[in-house]
Amino acid sequence: MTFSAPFVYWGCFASTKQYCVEVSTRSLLRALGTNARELEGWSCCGHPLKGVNPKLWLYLASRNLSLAGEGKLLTVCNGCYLSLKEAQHLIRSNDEAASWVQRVLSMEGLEYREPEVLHAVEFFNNELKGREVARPLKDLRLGAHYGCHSIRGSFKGFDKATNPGMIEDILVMLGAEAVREYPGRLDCCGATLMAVDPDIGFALASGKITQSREAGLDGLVTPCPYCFEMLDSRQDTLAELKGTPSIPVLLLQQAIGLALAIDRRGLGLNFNMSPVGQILKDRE
Amino acid sequence: MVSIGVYVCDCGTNIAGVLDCKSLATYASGLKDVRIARNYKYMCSEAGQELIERDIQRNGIDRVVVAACSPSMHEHTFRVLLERAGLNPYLLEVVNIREQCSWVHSSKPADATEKAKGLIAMGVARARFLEPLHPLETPVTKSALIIGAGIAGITAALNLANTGYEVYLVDKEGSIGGRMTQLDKTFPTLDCSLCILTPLMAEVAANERIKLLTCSEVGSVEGVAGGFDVAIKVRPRYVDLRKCIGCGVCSRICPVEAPNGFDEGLSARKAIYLNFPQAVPRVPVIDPSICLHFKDSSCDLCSGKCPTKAIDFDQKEEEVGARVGVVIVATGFNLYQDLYEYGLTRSRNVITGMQLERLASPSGPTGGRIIRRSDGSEPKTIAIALCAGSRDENHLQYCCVVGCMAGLKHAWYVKSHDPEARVYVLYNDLRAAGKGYEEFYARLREMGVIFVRGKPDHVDVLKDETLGIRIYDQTLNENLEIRADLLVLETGLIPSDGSEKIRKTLKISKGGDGFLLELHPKLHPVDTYSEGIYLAGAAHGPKDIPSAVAQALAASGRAVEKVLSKESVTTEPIIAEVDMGKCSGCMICLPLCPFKALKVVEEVGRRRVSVEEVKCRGCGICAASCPSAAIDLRHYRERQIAETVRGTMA
Amino acid sequence: MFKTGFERPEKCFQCGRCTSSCTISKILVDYRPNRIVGLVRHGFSEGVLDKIVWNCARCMKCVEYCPQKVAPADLISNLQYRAASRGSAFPEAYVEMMKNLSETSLAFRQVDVTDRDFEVCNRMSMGLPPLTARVKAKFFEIISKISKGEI
Repeated sequence: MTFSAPFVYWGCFASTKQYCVEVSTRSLLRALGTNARELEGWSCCGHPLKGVNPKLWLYLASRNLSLAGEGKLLTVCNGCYLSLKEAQHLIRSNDEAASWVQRVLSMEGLEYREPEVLHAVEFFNNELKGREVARPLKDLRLGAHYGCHSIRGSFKGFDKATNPGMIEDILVMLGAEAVREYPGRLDCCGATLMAVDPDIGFALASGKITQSREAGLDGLVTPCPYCFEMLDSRQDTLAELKGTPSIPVLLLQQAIGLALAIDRRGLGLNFNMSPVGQILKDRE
Repeated sequence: MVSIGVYVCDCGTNIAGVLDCKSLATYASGLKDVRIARNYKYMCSEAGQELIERDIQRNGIDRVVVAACSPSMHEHTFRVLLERAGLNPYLLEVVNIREQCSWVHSSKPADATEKAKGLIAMGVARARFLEPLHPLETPVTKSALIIGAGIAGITAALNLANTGYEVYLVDKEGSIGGRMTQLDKTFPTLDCSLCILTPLMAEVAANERIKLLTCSEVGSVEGVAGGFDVAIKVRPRYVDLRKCIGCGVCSRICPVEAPNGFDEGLSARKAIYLNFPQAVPRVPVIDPSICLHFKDSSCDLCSGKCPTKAIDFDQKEEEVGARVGVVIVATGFNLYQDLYEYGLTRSRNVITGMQLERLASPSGPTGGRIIRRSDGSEPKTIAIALCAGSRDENHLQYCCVVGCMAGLKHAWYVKSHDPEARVYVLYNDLRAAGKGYEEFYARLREMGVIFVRGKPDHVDVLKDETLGIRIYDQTLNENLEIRADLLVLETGLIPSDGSEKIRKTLKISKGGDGFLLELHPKLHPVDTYSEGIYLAGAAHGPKDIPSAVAQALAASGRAVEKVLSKESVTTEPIIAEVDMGKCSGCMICLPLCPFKALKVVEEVGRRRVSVEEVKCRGCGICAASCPSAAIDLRHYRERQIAETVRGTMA
Repeated sequence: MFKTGFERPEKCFQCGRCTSSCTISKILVDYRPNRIVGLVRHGFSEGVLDKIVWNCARCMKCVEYCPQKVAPADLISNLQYRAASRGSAFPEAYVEMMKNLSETSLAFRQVDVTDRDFEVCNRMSMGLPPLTARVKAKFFEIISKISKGEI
């Protein structure tokens, strides 16, 4: 039932700012009894820099892949997941890219390897199967925000892009009522635009939150730290700038942790800026 | 001692433009047993053929090697020539120095010429060991099996029956008629579909030469063109065909319901049901999977009420055996429905084109009213999305051929009933290529249908199941947001379930798109790679009704031309043969034959294997499997192949 | 034009679905992926699109929904690269990230975050292991060489 111990790839964003990701994931892995390993020598995955310099991206992505060898590499960020999966796919299908990668990696004393890249959603979906849930998330209508990169790309992902269901399956396992369809479910949170034109980013995040609210969801669950930043951390700003309504937003690991009775501090719930109190009530 | 004549063809510049044909002829003349070697511009021409003929008749040539284009082009031509000249046609060897040499090595003429020499040496080596063979004759049974009784099957059946042949017309449904029975009208004439189809169905029923087998499927087909042995399984419908008067009391009184496949899931039908009132035969069918009588013997309301006591729960499956001369496959199509991104299955107001046909049909679930299934109201804004699932690498790569016209027809259904309705046709291209089709397109434009060139985003389902369709309109250069009450999808078409089963039974090929494969895409659209088996209708590929009808007539025509008009059919003698002296009776070969052409015979108290010549298709599997080397393939004997290989070392 | 991803502009038959599904096109109406692919096919794209291509949200909807697997987002990434290589200005945030990368191997610097209880938190206060130097010097050498186009 359990995977053999994966390497956890934290990614830059979670490591330098979105601390609740690392905090909640570490607590969750401990609670599940999974021995996760640190990936020695890891660097940025290159995702945000692909447009600026694709070779840089390819080097960064492929070196992290080779550090993980033939093992499992668990990603906790959509951007990292896309970056690593795309690099794998490109190297498999493009001989020129493959030989360039071999050349550059050897300069660092590395050899290109192919670990199994896992997204947090598929990993935890598997870990939770057959497990008892100490504090089911009863009477909660929760919706999933998959983000973009967990489900869309030129490679075969872990779920169907036009109709993913794995997060909803997890929510059902946690005892919640999973709302499997709502307008804008698969829309983008706008995170990438914050680097280019924040107004657009805000407009997109606002749209997502508004649509979720109109669908009558009690809360949103997302696996990506960037989406979390847009949908949770910025709710005050959005309310001010655009009059966006509020809605409780949880990181996937936090939702799972809550159901497994992990404490508030252990889940980094002090970092959630959205009104999670509404759904936490006596669940903490 | 043989006298081989080698003829090297220039093929204009196709071969001579790359290879040094003169030197090839010179080379050939130096090979053992080659008496004459010539080089000519076009061997297949009359003059070229005359060269060969003269050599046979006057210069003692008794084996012919032609080095030219692929045998698939002219092997037949030269075989006929040999026969004319008085030589057995199987004493011919065609060496391919065009497709397999000059055409593929055009950048390396010197190397290519060396290769051609090797190929010719191999051909000559084989020619030394060729033997005369005589084609096999199968007497022709003057009847046909037609699988599938839609418009294509019906057309072929009537054509053959009226030409004087017996026809077995098989369909797995309870009634004939196929997909046309589900349509309301047909484009571009807007004829009522059943009105034009039912007279043909009645003709089929009345025609004495047509043996109609509904609720039936073909179990097995063995043999060759002229003499196919067919086993047809007739499922029990549990109603006596002779007694039933089609009054319908049974269906009315039956307490059990199931989704109605004929109405594409839009309504329910009973366990005993007739799909539509004009069914042929007009006799209902009982579905034993839901009928209470079969579940726990708890009900026989229908048999109690039937005025003619036609219900017979004890009916058994029957097997009908027949011998026919030809088989025509007309098994039709199914709809592609993996269209979640367009909202199918997410909202009841997203329907397929076929579902719209059922709504529009007077005998359909709403008596002809096009309504929203969510609340029964009449839609005011309707969007029709073409190419849903077609020309799409995420779904079906090919074009569905009829979607554009069907979409126009569906727009007509809505607009003609409610001119005030807002109808959008969302198209990628608009293909209106047939007769009268362009006119139909113009007519719809005149009716005020709004044509949007674009392809919609993931469709949203909004409050009260209104559909939110976001689409970039290229003609306006605007991002549109259409709020539609109803969305109709012109779905892709795929081969029917029956098609795949039949394909395996008959051992015919399918193309990359899954549809049954014709012999040649341009010149032989109804023949298959197996003689005596022909294709008609959508089983061959999506097509409109006039094309299906034309193809059915073509298939019948071919069936008559190639088989039914003859007293016997000749098949190539390239078949397996067992050397009884070597056969040990181990039977390893027996189950390997895909055509069941090997049979066990008793000879001098010992069991051995023998080949049923008519069934053998010369695939060579048995020959390869025999541990005693007792089986050989005529014209491709082990010795011949071995010598051909040795020829490379000449 | 060499490919940096899975883009296949040659397959495009201008159905416009990329634009229909484009996240940005709904806000910036002049941002149209189908037009960008069209311009590339016509050969008119160099320079003209240098500014607008940075607006791509990388939401990959165009990649997912394109019926011909053109992958417009990858083409746009490629155009971003060409613009940057030509010395065209690109968003400040990426300049910042490149700098961080060349100094720390990560795209961002560690920051202190004020949580909802108004406490100032960082890795240490949350009990997370420190981010010590993970990569060797060779890494930075390679980064530099790639940035300068030497590899």
